[in-house]
Amino acid sequence: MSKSVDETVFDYFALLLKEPVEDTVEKSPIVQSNLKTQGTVAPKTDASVPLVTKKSAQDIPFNIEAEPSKAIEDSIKSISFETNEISKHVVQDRSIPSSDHSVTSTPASLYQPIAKPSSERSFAEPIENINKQALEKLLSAVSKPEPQAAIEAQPKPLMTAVEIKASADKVRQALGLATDVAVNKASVTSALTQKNAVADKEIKPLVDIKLAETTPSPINKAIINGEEQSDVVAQTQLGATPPSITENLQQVLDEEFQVLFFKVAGLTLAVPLVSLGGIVKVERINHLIGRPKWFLGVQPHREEKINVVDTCAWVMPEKYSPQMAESIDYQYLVMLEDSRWGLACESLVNAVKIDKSHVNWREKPGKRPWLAGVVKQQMCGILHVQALIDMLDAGLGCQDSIDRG
Amino acid sequence: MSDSRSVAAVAAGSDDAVLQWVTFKLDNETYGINVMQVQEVLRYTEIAPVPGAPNYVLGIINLRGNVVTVIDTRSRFGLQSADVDDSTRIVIIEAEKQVIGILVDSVAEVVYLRRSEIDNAPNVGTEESAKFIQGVSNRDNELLILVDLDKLLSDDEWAELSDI
Repeated sequence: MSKSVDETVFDYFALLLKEPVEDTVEKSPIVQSNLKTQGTVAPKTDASVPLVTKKSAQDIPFNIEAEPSKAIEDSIKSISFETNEISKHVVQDRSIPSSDHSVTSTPASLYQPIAKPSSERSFAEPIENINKQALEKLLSAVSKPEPQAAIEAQPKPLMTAVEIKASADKVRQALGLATDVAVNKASVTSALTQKNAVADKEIKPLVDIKLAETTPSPINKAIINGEEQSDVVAQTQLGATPPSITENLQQVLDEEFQVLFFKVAGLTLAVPLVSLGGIVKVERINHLIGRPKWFLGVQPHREEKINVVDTCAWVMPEKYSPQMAESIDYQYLVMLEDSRWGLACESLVNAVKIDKSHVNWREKPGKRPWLAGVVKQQMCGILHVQALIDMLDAGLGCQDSIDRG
Repeated sequence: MSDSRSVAAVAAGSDDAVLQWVTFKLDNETYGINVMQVQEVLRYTEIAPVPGAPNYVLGIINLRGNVVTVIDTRSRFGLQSADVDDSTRIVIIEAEKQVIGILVDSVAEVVYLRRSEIDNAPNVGTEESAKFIQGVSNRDNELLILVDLDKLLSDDEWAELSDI
């Protein structure tokens, strides 16, 4: 393909802007260069102009000066016939692969000169009124690169038969004649409402038809199939999405919920207030023999005993060293729900209200079930307290597998 | 917390016996042993080391003509060793039908505890020493760690101890 559809169309309209209507009709190289082709690949004769098939040259009477009414009637018949043909062609194209479709081998080009031969209204006039900038703007819609590479190669998808008929009807309307009874008016209306600009209504259908005809159907079919497949995949993925591991926690929390931020050895952690059992000042922690390093001991509190977790040792065992242990000065215990477990922390930062959407919730189970997610703004972990309690009850450390419990 | 309270309440209604515990200090923690297993408490005396004895054995003492093996409790509990001072005591106990001595930092008192006042220790221990603790009790806002002397040594160790 030496020239894109958009460039060809653009060149065509550029030519219309320059040349008088009569010259364009009678001496157009479009007709001359395409006399030998019909519905097949047209050899590229002139890069600056679009091509028209022999059939279009024969069927569409360009010399409308001589027999305007007859020419129009013939044009309508030709359009109806061509519309049917196009419909068939499109349907066939979708089923029969074709390896050699040229953008310029377009029966849609049939319709391009139709806009010109009108005795009542010169189709060159509105085109003349359109400046090049406006034209570029209009064509930009079809010139925009598609996200998919395949779509890039084919700027527009295939037109449906209804759309083609609608476009044909548009031409008839432009000619000031009655709409073909076979054409569904509603379809036409809906098709027309999809066009944004008034000028676009004049030009776009022509472009669309051309593109529809010139688009290699196998590729389009592949694209359509791909889209259908991707839709199916998306639906399947939606249906198969496993429930988030933090779903229970998220259900408990309101859309906006409060969290308490606390610090341990420079690390900030957040705990939802609904999961906070209380805050207890560190007093005397009784060390129990035979316990893991992360188990600081037991602190009596109001006739109860708090199992104190060395949060730093539990959360960051790989960084925990005797030097770090000496440097840490635990001040408070963050109680987990109504359990006996309390996380030792050095300082309490603050309690703030955050939105659920401000947390990057964990969706999949991983090595850290105790981590519900990450608070985006503070960039700190938010605890899944129930999972943490389960792990602590099972005597598991941060890096221990939950299966062990 | 409420669970343990309710369990304790049930126990109090049914079988809430009062138990006496001899308390001693070790590395600033207070431990309790069943008074029924304590024979006597001695001031520190010279402990004769025994060549080839296990590392948890400090040595032997002569207690009124009987040879008593003294256990290094700190070592057994995984604690760092400490110097002997005036408060250091040797507690003579009877466990697994053997009489042994345990070296402690100090002996405090005999306390009375209801069974309902005893809670299970947090079950997070993976080390051998974790099973020494049979429970904990909160007394005057101070934690008392109750030691199961029978489990202070394994069956093999008890057997090995009898051959010394």
